[in-house]
Amino acid sequence: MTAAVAPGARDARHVPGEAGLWVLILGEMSMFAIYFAMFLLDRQDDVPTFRAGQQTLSQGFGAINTVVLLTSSLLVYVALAAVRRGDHVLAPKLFAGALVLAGVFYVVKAFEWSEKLSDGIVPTTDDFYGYYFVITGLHLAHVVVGMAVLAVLLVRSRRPDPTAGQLAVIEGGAVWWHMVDLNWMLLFPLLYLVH
Amino acid sequence: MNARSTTSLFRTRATVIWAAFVAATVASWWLGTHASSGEAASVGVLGIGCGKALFVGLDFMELRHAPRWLQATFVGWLLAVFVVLSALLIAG
Repeated sequence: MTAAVAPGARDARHVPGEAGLWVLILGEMSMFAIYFAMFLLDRQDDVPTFRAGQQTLSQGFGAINTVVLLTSSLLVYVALAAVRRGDHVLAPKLFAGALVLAGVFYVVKAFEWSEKLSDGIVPTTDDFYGYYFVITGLHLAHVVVGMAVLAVLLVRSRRPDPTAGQLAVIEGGAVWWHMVDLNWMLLFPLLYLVH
Repeated sequence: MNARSTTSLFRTRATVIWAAFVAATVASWWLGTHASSGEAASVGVLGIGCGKALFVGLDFMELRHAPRWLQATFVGWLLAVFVVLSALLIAG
């Protein structure tokens, strides 16, 4: 919430970040949705290949990464609350925690990929693996951007008394990170779980 | 700031949602590795994913407190994604 809400405002609703950011956020989410639809369409033509490929994915690693991202989102959520409360000591620590978890996600994903590659599986092996590498790769690229964003939020949250504009930047960065989490919530069941 | 005020920051709806998500993740991982499945289970698993996405938006992204036009856009988008992807799952 910005400081500029009039006392007695009937409906103090607030766009997290700013409206323009949401064009980007919904655009990015839609890009993933389109890939998911293409994945399912191509799957219709060769269900056995897609099923076989899915069997080789580690649901355990996928579940771990899900919990990692969920926890990082919670830390970002609480960090934002700390910023709004003026706690410029705690907020950077929470952003740092989220950044560490983002790194854990990256490492787990890199390990998953290296397992596949050492088994001789590459993006061109078949349609399933093509989608697997492209979709998880795109997601990982968003994670990397998110890590840069979290680093910026870490630094900015050290400033006491942020202005409304500075707060909007931190909110916006937090929304980007939650989007990364949200995309994974859809990606994980589609690639790893649905039979 | 002291430990008590840190704890109070975590006493929030978002933490409850997080705990439910973690439980749901573990449960769906268990189901995925221990139970047989069919179309209904697949749509169910997708539905749980969309449900998680909904709460990430409403609670973590704070859309619960956003203007109605933004809430409606987000929820409408998610609903459309669920319907289209479910249809593609079933038609396969």
